[in-house]
Amino acid sequence: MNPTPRHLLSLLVLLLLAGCGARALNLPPFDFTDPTPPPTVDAVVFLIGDAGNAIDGRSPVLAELTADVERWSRDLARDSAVSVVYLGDIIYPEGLRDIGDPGHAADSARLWSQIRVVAGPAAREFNTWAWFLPGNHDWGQMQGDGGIGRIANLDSALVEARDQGFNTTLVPAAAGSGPVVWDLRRNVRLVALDTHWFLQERAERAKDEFFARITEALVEAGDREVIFMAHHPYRSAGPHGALITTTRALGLAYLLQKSGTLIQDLNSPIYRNFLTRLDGAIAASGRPPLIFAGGHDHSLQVFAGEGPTEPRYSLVSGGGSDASDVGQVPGLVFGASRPGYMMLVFRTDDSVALYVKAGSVDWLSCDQPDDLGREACMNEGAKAFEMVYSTTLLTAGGIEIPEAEPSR
Amino acid sequence: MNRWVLWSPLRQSLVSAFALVAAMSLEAPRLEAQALPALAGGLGGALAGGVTTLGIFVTRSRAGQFIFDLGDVRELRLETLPPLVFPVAGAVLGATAPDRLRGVSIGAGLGLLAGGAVGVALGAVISETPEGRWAGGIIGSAAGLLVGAVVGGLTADSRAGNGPSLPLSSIRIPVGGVR
Repeated sequence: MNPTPRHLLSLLVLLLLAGCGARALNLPPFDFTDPTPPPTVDAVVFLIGDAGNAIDGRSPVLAELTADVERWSRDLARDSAVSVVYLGDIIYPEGLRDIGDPGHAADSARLWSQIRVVAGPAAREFNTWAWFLPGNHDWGQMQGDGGIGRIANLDSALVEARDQGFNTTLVPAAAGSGPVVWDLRRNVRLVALDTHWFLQERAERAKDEFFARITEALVEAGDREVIFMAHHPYRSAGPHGALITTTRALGLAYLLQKSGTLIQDLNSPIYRNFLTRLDGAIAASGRPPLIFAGGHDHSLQVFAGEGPTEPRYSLVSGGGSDASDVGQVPGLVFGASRPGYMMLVFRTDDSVALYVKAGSVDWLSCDQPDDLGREACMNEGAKAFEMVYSTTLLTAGGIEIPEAEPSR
Repeated sequence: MNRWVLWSPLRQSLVSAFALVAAMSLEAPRLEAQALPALAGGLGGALAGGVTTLGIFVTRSRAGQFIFDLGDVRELRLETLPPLVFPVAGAVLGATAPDRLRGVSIGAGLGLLAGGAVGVALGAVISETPEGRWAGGIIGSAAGLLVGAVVGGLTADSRAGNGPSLPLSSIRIPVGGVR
């Protein structure tokens, strides 16, 4: 049968319909377990990215995260046992603009919405920290001095918040690419990177030094498990990764994406160079990190590593204030195009568990003009939250821990 | 991010072309014969402008100047001028010298295909990644299109000589009220 225009039109309509409906994934059942009881927990780290559009009082995600942070801070009741890591894109659309800029007030409101997550009584009593990692939007989507200026603004604002008694810090600090090393406990090292710095940097020598420091951080970790944290993910099945959405496929963006012209996509030559060099640093260290956690795509994704130079798990936790599609790619063990965040639980037996908590795309933001409507929306948004995935990333007996190794 | 951002230059160029053609159509029936070639020239110019701008962006990215934000494509600057200028040029060419437009179109089309094929092949040789082939294809298409258009236009000019084209001064575009 020869295709007629009607056949082609039908095919196009079917493709469009298929693309529009591709939000949910059919993945194998996961090994969900009940949340770990606090007595067996040593530390908890919340991972949330791309929360730059969330405003407190209007964001069910931030409300849920604040409640969880407060509960865990109170239950663990130890100094700095709970941390929140913001995985970049803290302020949409252009980072923290200068004081005097008409957009500065709105930018500050977005930043303070996230700072206030650690402002509850238990969080403040037990020094729950909020670590802010810069993303491409925090750089104002710029390179060079313009972008560094935005990061400096963010750094100053967080220092100011810290002076007011809020435990906040920018890692890496302004104009510092990282890595910032933080040994969370005796068997875990967190390493924070500013990946946008790498994407925008032109000086090869600076990049070489950056990766020399990463290799050093990996090697010096010894038997500690390394967890990388950055804005840009190691892998993604979202629009910045493998997925080309239907609307993009019909536009010029498709060609720009396929040719690697968009620097923020994983297939751009410069991003690919970052990943290749990271693989090289991992290979040089002789031991793959446990996790590479990023945001960037607005979804929740868990990947299992597929090679000796890959992180054993790659996470995308970018559902802080939006939800974008997730495709089906090799290695993806969980994916959800829903708002939410992830929680890493470090148990006293040295095991590490991952929990993924998600809300509904129907309650992304409560922008009703009236208080009653907004309250109802926030309540519905809170009800929609559920634990959608959990797994043990590291078992108690799976590692060797040096006995005399002090924690930094 | 507005997902329609990338359509913006194309939309602007199409609007420019249609506005020009519509204005010329008001002069009907004297300019009726010009409308169709002008429309074809406008549409072809829009397509050629889009391919050229795309080629410029991809070429720049291969030189290390990537697109940080899709909004960059919407900004009015040198790289985004072709989708604005080419439709107008195409429409004017269609109205004044349809023979030359035909030559330009054939040359551009052949150049696009040939350049694209050469670009894909070169991209595959130069780069090991799939993106290299795509980039080579896009850059080759844009370069081939431009070279083909120039060659086609010059060839058509020498063939047609001083053909029956209307002089440019015969186009009257009403910009004020019509009495």
